[in-house]
Amino acid sequence: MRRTRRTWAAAICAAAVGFAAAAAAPQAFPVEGHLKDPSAALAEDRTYYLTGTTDINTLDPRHADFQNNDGVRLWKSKDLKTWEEVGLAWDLSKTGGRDPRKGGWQAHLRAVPGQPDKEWSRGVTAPELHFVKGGWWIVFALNDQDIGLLKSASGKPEGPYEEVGRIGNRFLGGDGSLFEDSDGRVYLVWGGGYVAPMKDDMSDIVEEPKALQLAIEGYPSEEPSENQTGERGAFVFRDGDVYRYLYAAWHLRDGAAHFDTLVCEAKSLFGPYSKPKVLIPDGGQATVFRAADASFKAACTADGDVRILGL
Amino acid sequence: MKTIRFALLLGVPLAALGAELKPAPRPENYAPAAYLRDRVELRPILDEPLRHTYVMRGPDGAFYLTGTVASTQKSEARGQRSEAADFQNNDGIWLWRSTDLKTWQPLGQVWSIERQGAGWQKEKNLNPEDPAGPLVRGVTAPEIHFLKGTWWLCYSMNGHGTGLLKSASGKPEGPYEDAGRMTAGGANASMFEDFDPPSPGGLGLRREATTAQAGAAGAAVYWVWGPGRIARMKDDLSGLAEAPRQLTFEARFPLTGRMPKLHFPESVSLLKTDAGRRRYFLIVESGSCRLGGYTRDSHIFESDSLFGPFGTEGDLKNSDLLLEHGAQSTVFEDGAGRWYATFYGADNKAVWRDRPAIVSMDYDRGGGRPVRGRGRREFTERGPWATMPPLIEDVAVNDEQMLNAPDGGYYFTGSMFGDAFRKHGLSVWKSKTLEPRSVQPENWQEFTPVTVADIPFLAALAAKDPTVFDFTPRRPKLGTWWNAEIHYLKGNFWIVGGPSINDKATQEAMDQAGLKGRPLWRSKTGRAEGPYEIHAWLSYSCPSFFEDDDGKVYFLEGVSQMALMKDDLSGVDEAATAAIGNARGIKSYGYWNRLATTENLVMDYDIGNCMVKIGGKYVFFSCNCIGGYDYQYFVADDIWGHYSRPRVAMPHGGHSFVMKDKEGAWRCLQWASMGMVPFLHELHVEDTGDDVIIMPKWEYEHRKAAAGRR
Repeated sequence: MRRTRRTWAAAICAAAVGFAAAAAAPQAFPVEGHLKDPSAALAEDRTYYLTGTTDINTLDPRHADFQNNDGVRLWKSKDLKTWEEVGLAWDLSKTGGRDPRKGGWQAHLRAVPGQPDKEWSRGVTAPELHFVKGGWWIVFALNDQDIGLLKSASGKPEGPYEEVGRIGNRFLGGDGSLFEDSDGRVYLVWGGGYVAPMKDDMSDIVEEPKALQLAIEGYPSEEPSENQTGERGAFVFRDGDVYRYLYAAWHLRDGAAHFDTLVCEAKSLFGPYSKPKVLIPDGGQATVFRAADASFKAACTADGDVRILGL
Repeated sequence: MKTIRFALLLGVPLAALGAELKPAPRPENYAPAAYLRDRVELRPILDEPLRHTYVMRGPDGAFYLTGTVASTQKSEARGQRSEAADFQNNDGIWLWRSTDLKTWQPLGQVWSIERQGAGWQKEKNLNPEDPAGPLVRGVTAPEIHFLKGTWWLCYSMNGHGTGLLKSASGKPEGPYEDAGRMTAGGANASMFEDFDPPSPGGLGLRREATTAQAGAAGAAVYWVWGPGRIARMKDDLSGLAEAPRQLTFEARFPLTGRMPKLHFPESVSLLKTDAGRRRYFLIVESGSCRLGGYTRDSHIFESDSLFGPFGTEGDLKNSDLLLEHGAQSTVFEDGAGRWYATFYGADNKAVWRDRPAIVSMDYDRGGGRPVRGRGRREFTERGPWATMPPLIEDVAVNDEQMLNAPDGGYYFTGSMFGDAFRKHGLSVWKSKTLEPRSVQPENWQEFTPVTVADIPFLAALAAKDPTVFDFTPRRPKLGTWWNAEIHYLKGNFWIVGGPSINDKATQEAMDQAGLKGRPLWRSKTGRAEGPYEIHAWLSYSCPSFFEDDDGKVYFLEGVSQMALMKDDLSGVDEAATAAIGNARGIKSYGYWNRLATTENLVMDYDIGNCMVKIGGKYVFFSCNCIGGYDYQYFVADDIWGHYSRPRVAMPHGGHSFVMKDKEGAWRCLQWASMGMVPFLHELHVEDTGDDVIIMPKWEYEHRKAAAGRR
């Protein structure tokens, strides 16, 4: 992903959203340059946990990039400033095996979508940590495709995690996320804005996926859309009665291309959603979580570093 | 062993009793790959840069061609490399017409952004191929349709919204006037008329109604765009009449599935048929996990409902690939029952890039859909597929193997396909050189070094029941000699292989003789021609051998498994193999140890094991049955691993084999996707010190030339 380096302060100032962008100073992250697409969550003991796509492949460092890594890694923090590595919550190299119901699908190399020159790869992309249905879950993709779900066997965010399996397998992209609505129903959200309800036992989606109805689709709005391309990183959260759909895209702003975090809102989960606004300028793929003071915070990557921002 | 020796001793007099072998006669003029004689090199229909080739047959019976043009189109394009062409910057839509699909008459520019565009059409956009690069403006993936009695062009502006133009004259060449922006976002617009009843002619797979129906009221027209968005249009086609929906897909693989083939749709178009079980077909441009990379192929899925779920049940199962490297293909019929798909060379493994072509298709009447039949004439993938002669043409051989023997000969064998084909014994072909028989007629002479009559317990059985050796029925009691190989080990010729057993009585006789597996044969004369005797019985499905420099012989089997043989090759050295497995923590299966990769990737590529040594490194080959039948290689410093990740050594190799020839060049057999006759490719093999790079020589030369151009 090509990205122009920009000063973070300028980006914060430029934030023009329905939220007030926080003034909190961004914190450098201990694995600078080795983590992107961050996802954070607050545990009961007021500890924050964080995961994301890494380029760490301890087994074969020759194959180490953001499409080739050794699984899902976790970090934890009490203050969102100092982070301590918890370790490998799910080790991709231990998932092989001959039983295709359990292994198999994770143990293969995959083509990387849109990158014909890249050799087949294997890595976890955009894992997200969620507390839903009273338990801890990690939803992830393998090389931007084939979404899988892990469940904490201990009921604690640090795991150990066991595999639920491949879910929502309708080949419509990666970037899986979970959304628990106020009625307790859990949805899988993924790709370019696809949503499907999960089964009660979380073993798979229960209905065919629907595409969220977005203003950028051009219906029913006749207005010209934001000029954007490469939408990814679908994420939905709810703020009172408002559903907010968060995604990343290359976006034409002030005459130049920016990899922005965009947000649009709706009164119902499936839309119609409003015209997108910039939530985090140059924020890329971001996720939102509630902090200990019940405020919303976003985790994103900027200039190769993970940032936690107040919203 | 006692029982085996007993059987051997007993076998000689029983065989001498004269159980008569009745081989099946070889069919006359048998040429399983005769169609290869009709191969043609795929040629562009225009020598101009064009992407998203779109062809339709109009109500006048003529064909109309359009697509994404490049900004160099009119001025500098001729003779220029297409990679230099800029498809995101252009000035609108061009059209061509043909009555014979051979000569294309340019109808010229039918719509200009500069002269006729307004508003959003004139805006500069982010480049979807290079978002951080300079802004662009151009029409992408236009299509021409005949609906409601006139001509329409649907298009996208660089993927930033879709729009419709209407012919003001009722003629395809226009002039066109703006019929509105249909969506504010999205790319790859297409239109589909849900005509009902389906095409009255009976032959049908259509995007829109036939001439007779054109203009008839009632048939709903849908706007189809992006990765499968669909919305019904207003009756006058002035806009969308409903909120867009996403077409849905059946799970391509059950959740228990293994290797992924597909990623996600990039563009789709809909067709409808009146034949077959289902009525709607969706042509999907989607990346495939093929050839060790990401190829942009076109796929076809079906559904009995317009909105899906689209899937691959029934006759489409496992064959959803419509056209390799076809990307955004359209299919059309020529009015005489012949079917074609469009092509433009969408990825770096295509035969060439960014020029329009049409590829002939077969039409599967049962399924009511076009298929890329086995009788394909044009090849859309880079490689010598259209020109390379097979070694031999008169047999279909699977699971091929070749030996460069120290007696000056090359020996070729494999599993023979087809009914009643040399099941009575193993066919081996001998040649002094590697030239195909079509070039050197004395090459590749067939002989049968071992037959079922050489297997004592079978000879004994046949003495009582002659039908055991009768190979003239369609399904004889003894079947194909699957996966047989000929090797030169410890200074002698060996054959591993035997017949499969089709009937219960024969199997029982084998069990009674205390025999398990199939024979390992040793030449009694030291000559490849034999005669041979059974040296041991080994259990295997897919065997191969490798003799290391220290004289140790390794027995490779089926699913990436290996065992050490005893020094006299009388069987597997189970104790030594188990000890190695235990010492290294390798999983064992039966008496084999499973080979493993550094990252514990699954190596269950099923078949075609082959081990060679290159520059002190062990290179293990096996066939990727679930990714595309390519022959892959793994590299390790130690024969037991851990091995590197797999890479493709020979595209479409199938269960193949690699050997070094008498001049020191590495060669690889290849037969998959090519009528199952053997082809022999030279490999480029590069020992880099810490790795070995292997690819077909033609691929290496292509890359070298491409790098030179850059």
